[in-house]
Amino acid sequence: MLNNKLKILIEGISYVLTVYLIILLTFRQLRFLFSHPKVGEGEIVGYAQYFGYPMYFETALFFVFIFTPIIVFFALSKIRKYRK
Amino acid sequence: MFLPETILAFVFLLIVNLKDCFFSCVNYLNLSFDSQIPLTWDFTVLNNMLPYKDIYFPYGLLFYFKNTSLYISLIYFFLPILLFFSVYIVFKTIFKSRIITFIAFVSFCLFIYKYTGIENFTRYGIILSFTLLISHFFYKLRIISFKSAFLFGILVGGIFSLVNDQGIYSLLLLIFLLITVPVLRGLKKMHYVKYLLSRLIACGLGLVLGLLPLFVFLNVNNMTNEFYLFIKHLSDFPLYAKTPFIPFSTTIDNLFAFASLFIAIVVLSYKIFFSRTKLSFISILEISLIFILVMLEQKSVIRSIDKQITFIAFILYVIMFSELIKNKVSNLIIYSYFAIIYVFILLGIGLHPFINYKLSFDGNLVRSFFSTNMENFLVKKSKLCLSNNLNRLTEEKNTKLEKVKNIIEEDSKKPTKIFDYLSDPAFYILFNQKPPYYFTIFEATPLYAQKSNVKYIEENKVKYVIYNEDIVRLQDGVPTQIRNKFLFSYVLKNFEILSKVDNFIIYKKI
Repeated sequence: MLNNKLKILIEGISYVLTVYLIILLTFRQLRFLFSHPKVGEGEIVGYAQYFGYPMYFETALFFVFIFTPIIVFFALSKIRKYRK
Repeated sequence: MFLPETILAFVFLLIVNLKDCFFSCVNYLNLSFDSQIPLTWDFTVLNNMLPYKDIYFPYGLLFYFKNTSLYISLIYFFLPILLFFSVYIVFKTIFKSRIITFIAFVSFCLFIYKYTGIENFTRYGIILSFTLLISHFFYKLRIISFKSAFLFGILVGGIFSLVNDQGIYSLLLLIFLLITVPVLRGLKKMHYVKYLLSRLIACGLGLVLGLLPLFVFLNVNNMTNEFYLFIKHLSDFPLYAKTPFIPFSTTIDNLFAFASLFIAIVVLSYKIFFSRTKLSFISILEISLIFILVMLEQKSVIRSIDKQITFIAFILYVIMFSELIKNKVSNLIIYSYFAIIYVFILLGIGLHPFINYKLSFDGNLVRSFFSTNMENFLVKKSKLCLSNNLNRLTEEKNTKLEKVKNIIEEDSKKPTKIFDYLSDPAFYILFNQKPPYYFTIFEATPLYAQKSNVKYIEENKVKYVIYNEDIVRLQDGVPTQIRNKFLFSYVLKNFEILSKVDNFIIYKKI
């Protein structure tokens, strides 16, 4: 029998991984939600502007990666409290 | 308090650092774009050019003057020892057992020497040490006093004065901990707002005091405005340096850091939301290290610095392991864990080192160290190391750099001025010429930087422009005529092709 701590951990991690999987499968669609950087006269042209790469897409993705476990465990704790 | 083996380890570190810092030259392994840049800075500091004012230098006064200023070179010498010491103290606190502390500490030292490189550790280790120190205080002092917050502010100001980016990270961490730790400790809302505001004010006052030496330096050298512009233009960095992260994020180094972050966040989230225990020292350490790694990863998302920051992930793993073994784990498991780490480090399995140089011991430097005064010795050493690197590197590339130089000298028949089109700044050292403020392709991207380079060409009456056709590959595939449209058009309008040597096109003033 798994003890309670381990159960919570496994449950939490499985939800987190599910979220990651959804992100992975919808990666292209998510990328198109972000607008491409502008290229104009006198404006900086680097890789992102030249190849039309969304500048802050990966930053946003990174924070989703970081915050998902926190949100999942917070939600789990609230649900468990509510059930009690 | 300190055990014989620990004292021995520090004496050993001191000797190694003395050899590396004063008796050895940093010899770059190749004449790549990345190696030419630090060599050019070594050249500019020897030519009394100042950072912020005369040359673009993003790493702070400590790294610019480390080889020429007496006081700064002494700080640079003792800094790594201090950084290692802070790691040792934390290991001693969390492990309790002297043998395990020693084993963990040696594994960390090996990791630094094998993968991180002492130069990189001296830079990013500052924020690591600050994290360890401040976590200790936030744990020990349940409420951070006004005086402590003021002292932290001074420390942050001092760090910012010497190494700008580390100072910014330190400040953000300090603010983050001031905000979060009282919340996690359940401080009442009424007290919290008052507490937070007063501590932030104290930090701000301390920060101003800590920044005083920098302001004095800027004022004495009449470059306050240039420093302000330097800080203002830092926000342009993501715009010109951003490269895709996702395709390159699957490196073993990045995954190593990512995995440590993921595990630490999961463990911490569990502890905060499900465990009723008080906020421990390890938890505060984990919170701080997660915050630091998240901030550093933001830079990595723009332009990968995955190899530079693996040692912070390494510390995070060791700290998490220390929590795991708190609950009576057999010594066999502990020793096996560190044995595996030792094997991985010593055999160099997995991660990639961030070391593109070799430290070469020079007996002449030892003699010189004891026979001349320190300031003369530093200048002598800098010149010797620069010339060693240049001789070795131009030999390696003699078919290219020397040929270009010879063609220009034959054509001009007298000393002349050149402009390297932002890819091979070693040419400025070869021609013994002060480089422009923005001498690399990335920093020279914004329009103000292009205009500054055109001004340099005009003011110095530059006769020759050296253009490396590989420049597009050196950077990120963006054609020069797009990235530097203004500068490139200027060169095409005012210069014509004189000759072509390998991948170099030499333009001559019309």
